[in-house]
Amino acid sequence: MVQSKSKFSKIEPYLYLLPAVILFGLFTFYPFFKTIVYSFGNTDTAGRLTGLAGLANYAKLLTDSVFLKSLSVTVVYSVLTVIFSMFIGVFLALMTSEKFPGHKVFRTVYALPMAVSASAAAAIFNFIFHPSIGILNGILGTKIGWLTDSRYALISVVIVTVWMNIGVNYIFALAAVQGVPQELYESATVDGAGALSKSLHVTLPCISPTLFFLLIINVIYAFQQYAQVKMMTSGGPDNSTRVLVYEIYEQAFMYGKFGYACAESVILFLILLLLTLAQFRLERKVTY
Amino acid sequence: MKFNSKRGWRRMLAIATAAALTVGVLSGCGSSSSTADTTSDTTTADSTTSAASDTESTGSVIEITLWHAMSGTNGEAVDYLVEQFNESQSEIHVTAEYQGTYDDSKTKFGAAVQSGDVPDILQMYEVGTQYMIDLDCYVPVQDFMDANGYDENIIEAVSNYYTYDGKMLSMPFNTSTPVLWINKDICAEAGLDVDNPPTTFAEVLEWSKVIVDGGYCEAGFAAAVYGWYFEQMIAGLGLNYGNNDNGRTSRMTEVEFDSNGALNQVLTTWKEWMDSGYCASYGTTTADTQTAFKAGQVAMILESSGCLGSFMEDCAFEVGNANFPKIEENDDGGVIIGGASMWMIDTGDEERENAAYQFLAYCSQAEQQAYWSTATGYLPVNADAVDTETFSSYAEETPLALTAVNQLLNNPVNTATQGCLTGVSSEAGYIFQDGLEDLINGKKSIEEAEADITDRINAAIEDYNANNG
Repeated sequence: MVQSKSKFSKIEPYLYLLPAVILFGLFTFYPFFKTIVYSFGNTDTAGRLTGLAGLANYAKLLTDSVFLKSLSVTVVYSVLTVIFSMFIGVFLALMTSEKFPGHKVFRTVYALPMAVSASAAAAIFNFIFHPSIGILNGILGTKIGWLTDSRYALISVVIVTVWMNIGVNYIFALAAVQGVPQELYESATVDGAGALSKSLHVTLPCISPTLFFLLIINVIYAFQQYAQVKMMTSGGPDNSTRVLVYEIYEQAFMYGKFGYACAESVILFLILLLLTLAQFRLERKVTY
Repeated sequence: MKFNSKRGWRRMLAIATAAALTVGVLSGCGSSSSTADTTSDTTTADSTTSAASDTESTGSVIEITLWHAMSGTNGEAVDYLVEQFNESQSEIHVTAEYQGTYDDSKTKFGAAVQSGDVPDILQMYEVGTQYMIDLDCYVPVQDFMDANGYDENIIEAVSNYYTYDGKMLSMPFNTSTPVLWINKDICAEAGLDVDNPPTTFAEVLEWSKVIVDGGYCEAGFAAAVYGWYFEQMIAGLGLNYGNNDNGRTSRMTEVEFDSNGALNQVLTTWKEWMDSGYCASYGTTTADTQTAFKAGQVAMILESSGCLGSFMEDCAFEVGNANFPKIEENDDGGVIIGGASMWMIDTGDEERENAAYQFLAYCSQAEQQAYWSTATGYLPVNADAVDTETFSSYAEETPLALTAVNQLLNNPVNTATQGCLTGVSSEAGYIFQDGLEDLINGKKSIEEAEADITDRINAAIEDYNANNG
């Protein structure tokens, strides 16, 4: 009797874990492994496996100029959006961390883009960037095809993404900045530090764990964002905005090549895995 | 076994939660359409209730489901037709479910086929025809038409598109053709004869020159960089897109537009526009070209006949339209229809398939098509619809609607205007856009773009054929 009771208490914790494991298994691990399996096969347009392709999908990826272009676009896009979203978000947080008349208005305004969905933002910016009736060309007096000229399209999409991402970066950075102990500032003041050197030498080191967290989610976000591309440029013109996730979407759902799309997804996964590992190594060095 | 009742309670709870979650998740997986059914039941509560009372009286109402991709005004028109049909008889009750855009509903249908939970009728855009043939889960509407002595006057240029190997596979429903849209105010101001609009692209360019040189407008002409126009221009030449009679007698295995010179002519024409300085390009999004036209920034554009309503409403100038111009005048050339058709899905239930046919036959009748056309701006698929009271009074008010109808009625019927049937339509359209953009940007010469487009589309066709059908 005693024995059976202790046996049960051994498995008991696993029972509590079971719901989460099942959910993760069905909606994360199962699709994940299925993606890997599919990446070694071909499918018909309905997504049914029609045969194994071995490494053919991967071999094709390496010579597919569109895929390679989309990789380089994704890297440029991610680097730009991560740098600008974080920089602007943190800068605004530093500016508004102290109480001054109307600080709540500023805080609300800076955090607000977070509440706008990607498709709504894209729709609004479509009007702003419109080649013939857009307000941007109206103000600048130019006739630039912001979304239709391959030289500007990626920049335009980056601007929209940065605008959308500022809110999240701002909120996290602001919370972190406000969590910095006041004593540190007081002793810095005693030591004769000015506002700038207080920000650089007190605030930034103190919020570095948050900055690190933001870096990771920003990179993952940047690699996975797709709605604004779909809404604004459909990957064009001339593939200049064809980010990886859009390419995957198009291969799978527009062209019915699920095997090929899965191979692309696996590559995306590997890239994100490597980046995250690299970032964790970095973490040991930069955070206090 | 005896244990502390409090702990036992906790254990039971843990086990029950785990079990409930498992069951919930599994059932949630397998029956996405059961949720869809529930939603539609609540949205169409009124009609369901009336259907239910019918069931009580007659004992057997056949319930069938229609998946469509019509939103906004067009969606309301579908609902109206469904309602009219449900009221016109008491044996069949149709439930219409909007499934998102054509692409969305295509993807959903692919998934539904795998789970076996399919609708009775599916609206599929014209370029999805090969997709439907390859999924092989339909029953040809022609079989039911023959068995039921169907005698509606479907316009041949329309039914032709949905005919494969001599059999009409699906029932045409909504159709449109591309036309040349004209800003009459600008053209008249430039001294051009707006009653005799251009019929060839060479004339379009001449008009553009007059308009731009005279300073009447920034650009004379524009067309979105869009695969559909590429196919239209080939059909206008009276030439085939691909082999095996445009994929109509058997599966298309390679393109023909390279060897018959069609691609070269299309690219040359497009390049002439861009080199002339009289034409503009507003990119691959058709809506951007429309907006520029509405804003009076370009005098002529290529667009679907379906834009009539929005142009009439949004344009501050007098709108005109004309037949889709040709690269060369010739008798064999014409336009390919766009739009969608209704597919009867193979449910294995003869009674429901018959019911689905009844509904499709009803929707294709002259009166229903006249209503549909006037409500949505699509062209009627039934030639007799043009003679109905509904349509004539509409045409009197909006004579521009007749341009596309007449273009359709006078369209030559051959494999070129039948349009190509291939499973890679969307991908081929994208490849063409890609090549054309390279040409416009000066990254590739006509010959290079031609080789690139041909090779890539052929590779896509080969890949598709290896995995489908």
